[in-house]
Amino acid sequence: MYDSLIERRSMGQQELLRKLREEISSGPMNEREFWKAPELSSGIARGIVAELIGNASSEYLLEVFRMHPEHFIFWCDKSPRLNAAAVSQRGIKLSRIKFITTEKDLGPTLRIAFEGGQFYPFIVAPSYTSDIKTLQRYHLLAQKSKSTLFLLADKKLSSAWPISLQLEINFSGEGFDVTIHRQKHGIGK
Amino acid sequence: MKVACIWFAEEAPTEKLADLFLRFSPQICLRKKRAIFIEIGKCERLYSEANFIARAHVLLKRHLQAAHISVASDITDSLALAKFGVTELKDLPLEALLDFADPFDRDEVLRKSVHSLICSFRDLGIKNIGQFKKLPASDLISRYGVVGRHCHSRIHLNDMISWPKWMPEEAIVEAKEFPYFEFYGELDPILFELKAQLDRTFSRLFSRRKRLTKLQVQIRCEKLSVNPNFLRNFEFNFYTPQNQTKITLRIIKERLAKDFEKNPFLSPIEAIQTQVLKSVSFSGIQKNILNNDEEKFEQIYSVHEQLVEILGKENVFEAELTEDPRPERSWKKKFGLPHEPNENEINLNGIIPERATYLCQSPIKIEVTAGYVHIRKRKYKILHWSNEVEKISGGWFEKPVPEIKNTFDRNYYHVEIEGPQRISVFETPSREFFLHGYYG
Repeated sequence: MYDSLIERRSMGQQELLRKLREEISSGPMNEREFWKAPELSSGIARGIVAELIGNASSEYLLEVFRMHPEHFIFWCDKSPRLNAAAVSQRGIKLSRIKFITTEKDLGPTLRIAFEGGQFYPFIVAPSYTSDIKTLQRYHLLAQKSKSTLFLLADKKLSSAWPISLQLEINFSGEGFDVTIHRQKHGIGK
Repeated sequence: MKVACIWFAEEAPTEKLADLFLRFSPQICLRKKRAIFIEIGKCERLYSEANFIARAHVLLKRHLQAAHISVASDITDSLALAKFGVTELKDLPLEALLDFADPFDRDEVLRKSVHSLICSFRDLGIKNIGQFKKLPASDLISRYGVVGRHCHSRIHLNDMISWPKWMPEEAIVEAKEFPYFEFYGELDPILFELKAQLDRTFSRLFSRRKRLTKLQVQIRCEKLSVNPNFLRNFEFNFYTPQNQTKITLRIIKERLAKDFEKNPFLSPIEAIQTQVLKSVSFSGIQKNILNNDEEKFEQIYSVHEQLVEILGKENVFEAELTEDPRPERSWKKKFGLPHEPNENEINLNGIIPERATYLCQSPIKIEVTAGYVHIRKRKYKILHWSNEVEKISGGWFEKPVPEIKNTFDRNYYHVEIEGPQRISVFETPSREFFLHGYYG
């Protein structure tokens, strides 16, 4: 360990960066578990922050939840807009969903949801911040708890790097039209 | 009969500690602040003597207490063995006669007489209980009268000692004062102390087969002119009965952190006290070794509790369907236990057309002109107007007063507008259109 530290000290910055990148790329990639998702062959990874936009993003999410009937869902919003009757019509048992409405900062609420991550593998919240530090915190919490945080964006997708997956989902006839804007999931099993 | 005696070398809070041993047996009595007696003979099929001693030591260690524990066939024997730390009765010193004669330390006169008896026997060369036991009763009566007879019968277990009644303290209170340690409401030291107090509280509640539902935390500060509110009370009404320090402490932490931010402490904290205000019984079933559903739900309840603490009860809910045809009343909030399966959930599929994913807070009046809808003064081109109509009407039964009209009569349409966006609009009999929801 000390040898490698001494070796690194003697390197120039550029050379050191190149070597570190090589080391990172040569290591085995973390295998992830994936959620099956419609119109997305790779699926959606567990333990990431995903951002969805488009006129069918919530409908798409409900379809994902319908495909995994054994898991509980944590749904945060600023006001109780989601129509529970529509959720039930999409084939999701209402007892699976915990609804949270708050106009305050969503941070503490999401932290608690992640802490109960083994019970809430699906966490949904409005995309309320682009702050890198906040999103990085969510990214780490999601990774640790293996929950997927779905941020529902209204107008535009965030450029923050901790968001691993960005999808634009629109209605297309009877199904969904999914456009991938960003995908850095890692690899599946 | 098998009696375990827990003897404390120094004075200890025996009233509180005795609570812990209720898990072993309900027959308990105390000798002031020095000893606890527990009848364990009737429970020998539940645990062995060695098992009892090991568990008792663990419990005492958790409460920062050290004690000698002995098990014998009677109160007097177990007390003497524990107090003098010997294993055989015959090896007990003659001073043990005091404990045989008055095991609960109640009769000062008797103790004085026995003490003079001990001095006399020591002069006569009798040094331990083994030697004393060999003396015939007649010799003792002739020289020491009733006291001699009493000691003889106690040593030979001829006396039936009645157990003084002990009842657990009505209120479970744990408190600590900080006379020398000054701190001004930093959260961490308070939580550190609260953790210890909660550990003790839950341990006592567990022995009583109870779970916590209402707790009071009291923080007392130094009474100074700058701090008129020197006493702060926090009451916690738990949504689900609590039985774990970790979970309860998280909830307390949320509240204290919020309160300390708003109202910082202006004088040093002098004492912290927790008191159980309400508890409920629970069946002390054994842990399920086949699945962890119980723990899982306990943690879900904990998450629920924390959310209720920071957001308020009305903002943490589940949904339940109703039979009302109006979309805004087709479901209601449910505040029961989290994720409780609802066997009677109404299946709406096939009964009503597919509803919009999101509902507007209240219907928004819109204008419909040829090929366009005007929503909040913005014009959107209509791409498709569905021919399917959902007609709903009713409401007359809600307020059957002629002057209050609460009836509704709506025709719902699915409309696709530019964006593209699917919306749900309804038309009233007066040909007015309202936007009620949208698909998202």
